[in-house]
Amino acid sequence: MSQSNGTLKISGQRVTIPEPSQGWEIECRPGGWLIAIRKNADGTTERRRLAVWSKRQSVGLILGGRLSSFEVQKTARAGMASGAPDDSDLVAQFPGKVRKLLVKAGEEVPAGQPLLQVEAMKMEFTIRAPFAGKIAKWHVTEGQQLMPGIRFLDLEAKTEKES
Amino acid sequence: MAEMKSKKEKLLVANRSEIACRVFQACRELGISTVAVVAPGDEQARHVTYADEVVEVSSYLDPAAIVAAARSVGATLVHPGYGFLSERSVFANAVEAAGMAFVGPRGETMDLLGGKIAAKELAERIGVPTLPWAKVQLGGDLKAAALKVGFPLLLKAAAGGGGKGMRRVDRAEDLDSAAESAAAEALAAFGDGTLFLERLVDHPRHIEVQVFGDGMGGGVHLFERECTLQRRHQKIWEEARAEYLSDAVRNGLHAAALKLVCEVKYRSAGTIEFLVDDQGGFYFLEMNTRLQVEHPVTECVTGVDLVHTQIRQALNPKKAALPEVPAARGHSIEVRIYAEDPAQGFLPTPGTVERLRWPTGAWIRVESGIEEGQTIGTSFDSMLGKLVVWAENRELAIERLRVALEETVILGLGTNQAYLLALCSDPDVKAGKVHTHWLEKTFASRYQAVPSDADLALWSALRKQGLGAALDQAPASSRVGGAVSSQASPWQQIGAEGLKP
Repeated sequence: MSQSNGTLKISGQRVTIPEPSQGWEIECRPGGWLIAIRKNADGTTERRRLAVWSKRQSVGLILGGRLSSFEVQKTARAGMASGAPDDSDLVAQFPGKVRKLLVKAGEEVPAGQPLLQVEAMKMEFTIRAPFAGKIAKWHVTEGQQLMPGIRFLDLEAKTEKES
Repeated sequence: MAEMKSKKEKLLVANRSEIACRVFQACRELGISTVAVVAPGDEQARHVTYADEVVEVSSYLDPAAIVAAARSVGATLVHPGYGFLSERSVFANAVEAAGMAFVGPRGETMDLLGGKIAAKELAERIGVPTLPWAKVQLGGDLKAAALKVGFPLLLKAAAGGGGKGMRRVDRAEDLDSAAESAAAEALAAFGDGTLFLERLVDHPRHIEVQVFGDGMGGGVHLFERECTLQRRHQKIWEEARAEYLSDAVRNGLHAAALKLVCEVKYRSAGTIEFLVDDQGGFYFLEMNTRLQVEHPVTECVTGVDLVHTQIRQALNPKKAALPEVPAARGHSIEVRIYAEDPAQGFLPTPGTVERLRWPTGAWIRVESGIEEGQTIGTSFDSMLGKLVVWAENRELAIERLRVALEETVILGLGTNQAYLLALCSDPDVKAGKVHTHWLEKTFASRYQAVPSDADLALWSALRKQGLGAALDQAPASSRVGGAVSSQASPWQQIGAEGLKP
């Protein structure tokens, strides 16, 4: 059984953390830059410049001028693969207002199904089911003001029948 | 030096963030004292430390509070910036009634041009082309009006802006339901549910003409800008001049813009927006009676300082104060950096600016609205700043913009930096093969938010050398001490730095 490096959440997409690439030497430079240098077998040298900031699970990485912001999700340990699915998408991340609930309690929904519409920063956003399941309970109502941390609903993961 | 006794001028900017700083810079150069206003929740904003005096106001949207603030400090001039109260005649009139100079057009001009319907009627009257359009009468025959205009069409809010209360309608059957929801949205957003219909142009370009009027019927144009790259009617990339126009269209646009400026005796800086179709037709959209977010690209290609020109005119309104406009030189591009995630429907990404490093270098101009350590919430506009470049031609300007973006470091919150960088190397952007819906229709599926495996593997390698353990688990205090003992562990050092108050 191979041990997973864990997963990242980048722009709502889950990405497996790849195996570290080997042979990099890191130099700290003034200005907060890091230089990663790697000598390849063919005699060439790779030199990358990057800046990183990290706090708890949040990481901001600038590499080649590209900013990537992401969260490091809990490392899945070997043998714990069947834990509860991550439902952090179902918690408000920013202040706003509930516009419309699109499904009823008790309904079964596939992954990706739009569940509710929220309004923030004068824009509308659709919150989708992060996994297939049954709507166990709504915690918000239409028109309700949202503060970060408020849970929209409980979604019971559909247990897959193995046969 | 024996100088004539002159009143000490003092200018209040009824705005915040980068545009307030832009105007303050001009004031400092001209020897005018500066006054900032600050609304609750915005105390950390950059403009607050940039001015000589600061007055607290209940809201940036309260005309009475801002006029009272200006009087309380003895301001002689008020600059409205863009957004907020900049196009509210009530505010301009109140400023002038209180004996201060409003750095912008007269309130009556805003009334004349502010309503989209009134502005269209005015344009039609003086022979400036508009799109086929029709008013929507309450309870009137919507279908008849729509057939007159032709499909596809847009339902628009008369008091609208920013895409609110706007619906595309392709078929007569969809008219009623679209009108109902657009009117409700317009009523909620602007307190006015009045709608009108307008013919929709497929694949248009957005071209606008920068103008400056002397307030007495004279005016000049400072060439055009192209702002075709927009999403939800929000510009994110602006250029001067517009590269892909025939001379006939270009001259037509300039002439039409000047006609409007002279007709309304426009005063100060303004912008006239047009849609240009792929047949060479152009249509008046609206006039923005203020300084635009994207004014720096015009300044770069003309060398005219629009803010200086505005202030000089406001100080001496009786004199015809038109800028001398030299021939435009080279090409300039501006991009707007926002705290938002383009891959998730431009979801706001509030957070703290933990690390900030704007680019430096030849022909790079930065209009920053943020400081390192500042927390960006969701109560105010999420624009963090603007990057502006100039180069001798468009091709080089795009490459220079790419370099500027590569040199920009904003860490601690998400931004659209990677998205803008991807635009710089997109073949359609380079070839100018874009239209106002191109970002949503074409580029949305091209943009890759997730970095390449190789980049993630490099990050993973760096993390393995110390980041994971040090930052994910250890309490802050235990990291600060035993930091940089090993050359291979830059992470603790970064962690410690990031935690400094």
